Amino acid sequence: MLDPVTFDRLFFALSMAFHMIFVTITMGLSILVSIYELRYIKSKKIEYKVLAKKLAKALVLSFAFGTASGTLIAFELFSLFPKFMAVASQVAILPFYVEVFAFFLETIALIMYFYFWENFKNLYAHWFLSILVIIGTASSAILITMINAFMNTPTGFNIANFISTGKITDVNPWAVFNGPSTWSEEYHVITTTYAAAGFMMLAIFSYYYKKTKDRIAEIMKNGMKTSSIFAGISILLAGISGHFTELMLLTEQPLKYAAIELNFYPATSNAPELIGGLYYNNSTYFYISIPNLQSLLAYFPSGNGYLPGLYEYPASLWPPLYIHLTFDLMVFGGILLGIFALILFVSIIFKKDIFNKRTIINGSIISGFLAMAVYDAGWVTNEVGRQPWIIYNVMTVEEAANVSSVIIPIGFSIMVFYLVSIPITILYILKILKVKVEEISNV
Amino acid sequence: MTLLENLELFFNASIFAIFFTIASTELMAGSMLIFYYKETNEEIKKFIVPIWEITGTFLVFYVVNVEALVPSLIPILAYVYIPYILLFIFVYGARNGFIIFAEFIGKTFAITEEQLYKLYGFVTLILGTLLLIAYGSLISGVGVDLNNYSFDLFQYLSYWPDAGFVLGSALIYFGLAHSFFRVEKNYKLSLSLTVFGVLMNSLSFIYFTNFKFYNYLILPIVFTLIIPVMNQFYYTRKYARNKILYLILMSLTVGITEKAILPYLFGGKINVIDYFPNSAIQVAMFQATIIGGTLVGIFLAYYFYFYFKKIERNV
Repeated sequence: MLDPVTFDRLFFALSMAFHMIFVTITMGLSILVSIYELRYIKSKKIEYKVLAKKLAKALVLSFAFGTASGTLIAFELFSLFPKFMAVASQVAILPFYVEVFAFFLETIALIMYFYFWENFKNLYAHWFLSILVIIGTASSAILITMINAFMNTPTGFNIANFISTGKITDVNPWAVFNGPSTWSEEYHVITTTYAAAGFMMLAIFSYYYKKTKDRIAEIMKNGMKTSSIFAGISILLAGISGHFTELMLLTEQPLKYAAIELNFYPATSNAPELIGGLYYNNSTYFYISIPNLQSLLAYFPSGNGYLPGLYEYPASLWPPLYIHLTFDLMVFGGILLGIFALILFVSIIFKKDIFNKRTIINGSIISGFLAMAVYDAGWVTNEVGRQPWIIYNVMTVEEAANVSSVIIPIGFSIMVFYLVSIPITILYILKILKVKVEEISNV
Repeated sequence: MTLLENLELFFNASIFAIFFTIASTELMAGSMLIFYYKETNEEIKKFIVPIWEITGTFLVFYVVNVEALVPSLIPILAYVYIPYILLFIFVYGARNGFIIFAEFIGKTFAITEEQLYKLYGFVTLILGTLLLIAYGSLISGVGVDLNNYSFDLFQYLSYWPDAGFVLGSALIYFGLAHSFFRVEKNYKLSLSLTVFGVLMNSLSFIYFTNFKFYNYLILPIVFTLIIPVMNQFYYTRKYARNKILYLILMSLTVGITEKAILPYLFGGKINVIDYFPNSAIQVAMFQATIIGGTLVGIFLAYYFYFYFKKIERNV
């Protein structure tokens, strides 16, 4: 039988995992919808309008489930981890609060955009609503990430005093907007989210390209090209931001850094990069070691500088070491996606039509799944890497959790509900995006 | 109570009032979809399908405002209401699922659009009941054990003002739904239902608050009864069925009632001012509420302006 703390953790992790699927789809679709409507306005090609409407419908569906799962998370945060919220509300509530206004912007702009589409005479005024949706979705993501950055590197109050007395003093409510890890995390979260969304859309368009022909296949191919450019730019920026995020960990969360690199001993130079590796019974198995690479990446070009090790900290504070593997999956999966996007990008630049090749179509479909796996692996690395803390070095998950045993049966029902409803929703989003011949002729 | 604290309570009451008013349109829609689907579904869908997302957004707004207003009260609320909160979010997820699929799936699945809308109506009424129970117990404190952090639903429902509050609200909204969604059938009965509901609710409220705030009830009673009374007469029916009038009057009704209750909760056992955060957060929240609230007001005003100008006028 699960204890309530473990259940709270599992329940919240599952809710977040599902929520992120819809957030990713929503953020990506909001950009594509805007691109296609603008193309329609400029070219008056009916295909673009059909695609924009299809994408907008999928966006509304994804947004609706995203807001539902987001609302559940808002409730779960204070009901599953009440002591965390009691602290966060006294120090770092502003991003949460401001996010609600971004959420309003997103909601109202999207429902006007979708439901009142034909009531707008000025096409640019209607298109402008899609820009507001993009701003709303991106702002929501940025503001919520600030809370996550606060959990990783708390700021804005007297931490030493809180640890010794339990009292919150010297509060600066604005500090959370510019904490030690805020902007490096923002940069990485936004770019990776757009990259994951871009590859997912590439996969969907490729799937339908494979299944359709003639005019509809051409529309899908166009979608493949657009989403591959979008995914390619995002994955490039995600790679750069990932490097800076890791450098930030070196100074702000050295224990997490040591765990994701599987460094047991600190080093000041010549540290190797471990690829793979299972830690069991105080030994590491199944890995490849690349000499000096870790030092070089962290302190380019000299390679000289301090790299933390796990043995510098009590073992009771170590996060689960499988995060080294999720980190590897994130990095190598990201590199593969980057290479694939580069191939597609180069083909577009040199006007080589490779999008009809079976390898590229199948590769594009696989890239969607891989991108989601990479994205989730990144979040697992980030969140599990902070364990046992909910607020790093301030409050453990165990201290924050609601230990009422009644959570388990109802929480379990909600998890089952998620497991049933979410695949149906995703399948329906896919179904919505299917363009039929008559739709083009009817518009 | 300082001016800032007073203003923050005022904002909190206002957010709750707008949230509850918008949510009440869904409660009315729920009852109409169940009882008069054929007569009302077109009218309801036109209003509810875009707005149900805004209800959810306002719910989040209210929850986050409460978290910011009384952070140290959160652990108490979380432990007392945990089964009801989880049940609420489960039903809330189902409500969203039903309305989304009702709107988009149509006839393609084994379940029909009508069945999905009725299911949406049914779960919305359950949500409304849960909300009213939680709200009633927050005011009266009946069934709540603050020492053991628990809530006994049966104790709550066996106290007649608590049960009366839920039943009275159900009658009020069922009655008001006739004018809001322009239902011709039984519209004469709707006045009697609303009057009876208002009577039950007012008596419950007087008992809830130990006879302290009954003078605050005069305006809410008048505001609630104006619409069903106007709906009875040919010349005023057009105005009674104007949705903007309902939204304004119901916001005022709920706002006045809420402001009368605050700052005391659980039958006066808790004064929320004692749970307010440090002054730095209070000032920052105040500033954010002013700026953000103005923006939300502009967004909503534009939305309703557009809705009533382009959509409602085309009926």
